[in-house]
Amino acid sequence: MDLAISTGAQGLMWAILSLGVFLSFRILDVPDMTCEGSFPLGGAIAATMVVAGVSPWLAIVAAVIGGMVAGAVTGILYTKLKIPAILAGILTMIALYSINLHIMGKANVSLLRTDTIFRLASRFLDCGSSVAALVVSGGLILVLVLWVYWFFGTELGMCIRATGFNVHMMRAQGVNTDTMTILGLLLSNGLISACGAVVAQNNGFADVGMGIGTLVIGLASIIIGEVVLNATSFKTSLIAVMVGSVIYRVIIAVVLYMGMEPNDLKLFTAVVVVLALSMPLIKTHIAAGKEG
Amino acid sequence: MLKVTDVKKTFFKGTVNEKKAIRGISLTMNDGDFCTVIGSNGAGKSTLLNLIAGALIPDEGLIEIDGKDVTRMPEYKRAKYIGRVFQDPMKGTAAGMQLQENLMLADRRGLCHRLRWAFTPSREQYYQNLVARLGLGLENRMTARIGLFSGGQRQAVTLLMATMRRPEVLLLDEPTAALDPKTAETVLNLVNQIVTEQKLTTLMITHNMRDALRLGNRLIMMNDGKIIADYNAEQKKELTIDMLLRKFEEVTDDVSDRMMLGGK
Repeated sequence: MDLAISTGAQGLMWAILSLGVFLSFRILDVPDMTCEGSFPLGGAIAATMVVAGVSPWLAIVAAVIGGMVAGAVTGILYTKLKIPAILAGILTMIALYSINLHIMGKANVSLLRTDTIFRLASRFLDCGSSVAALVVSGGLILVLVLWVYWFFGTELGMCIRATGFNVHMMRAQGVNTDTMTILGLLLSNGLISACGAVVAQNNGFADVGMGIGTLVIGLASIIIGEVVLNATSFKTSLIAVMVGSVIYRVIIAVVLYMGMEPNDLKLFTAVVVVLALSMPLIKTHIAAGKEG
Repeated sequence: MLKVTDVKKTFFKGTVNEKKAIRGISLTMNDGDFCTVIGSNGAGKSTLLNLIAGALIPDEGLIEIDGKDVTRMPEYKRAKYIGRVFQDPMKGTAAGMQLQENLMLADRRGLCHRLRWAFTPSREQYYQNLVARLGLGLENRMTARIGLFSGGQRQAVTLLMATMRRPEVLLLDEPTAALDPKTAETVLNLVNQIVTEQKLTTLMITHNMRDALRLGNRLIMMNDGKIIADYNAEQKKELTIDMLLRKFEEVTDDVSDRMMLGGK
């Protein structure tokens, strides 16, 4: 039971990351690698601030701002300096590695015996740590998903979405598509950084290497959700992001329970993403085979 | 009013691929002029439209809309004066978004985009009424994704989007080139109806000489980056396809097959 609760909590917590990756990969259609730098950036900012005695909630807000700056940098590299999106993201990611080390002063900051959002919630609700994690993560992702749903239903949000579909049309409609792309990447990395801050507080430490593979985790969650829910509308896509993240964590928990080495997890995740991405092609091949 | 003065544009300047696309064009369009543009491939028709729209910036010359110099104004800023329909039906709309969402974006053309929920019931009703006037039955598919629509339906929607907020200049770049003849007819009739009703200043490129003669009150012919003929409403009434073809032969030996076929 405890395992189920903590798996659910992990899924909901990491859904914040998936939501951020969803904004860049799906809405903007920009493959943004900044993720693997802005995620540990959030962890670094939050851990350092919590250790210094700042409120853990305030630390998350600071992490969001830090992530937004990182996203804006990638956006400017991509739109204004015309650096290809993948490279722009990688450049910011590499730069952030040094910056994260500077923020923490070392490669790893422990949050032992500090007040994290989870310990505060556990005390406030007078419950076990895994229930507290579930409540806090669930509350956070719910608020964020509702906010994203509202934002992309506003005139400004619609412009960002449409820019992802068709820059020609949006320029013809009088929209500065560069600004929209920067804004989208800024929001995306703000969310990803927030997730890093939350995960660090849950793990009890921030590590400079905690970002490795996060992008693929986010993608895996999004794709799993889309396949399971057959998401086409914006609303169902958002729900799919959350559902997919939880399912991904369940899959991970199951394979670990069945005895897979934790070291093989990233390999496993990569294979899952490859399979999910090639699914449409495989399906058409099978369909063509049946007809022929 | 649209005024183009001595505009020049060269692509790949200083390389072996140098191409003088526009070799000095001056053109004044009065309010309400509906001008069709014909010319062989590579004559510079699309380049001219792109220069006016701001997708390209001229090397020399001046472009004014309603007396305002827009020569170097970025495309997205100038969009408040200009409505556009592209040759490619995919280019004018956002495929993954709903019909009414596309219309909302066009409704804010040239205005700021507020941090405010984009739809109210009265707004939705307004968009639905506009779509109903197209007469294509799309008013029952307001929340369907545009990607599910046919090329002709998408061009009709693009046309509606270009004109729902009255543009100073409407630019149509072969709006029916990618459509089958019957759909092309429907879209052109819509163009004619909307342009005449709203008295829009319009430039429309076409490869079909019959359409060029049938529509509008002015016709210009381009060749090799220059305007080689400019017929006003009176002269245009007398024009025939044969006369246009002969005019083409005067300036060039190779009347393209496409033009010949389009004229039949």
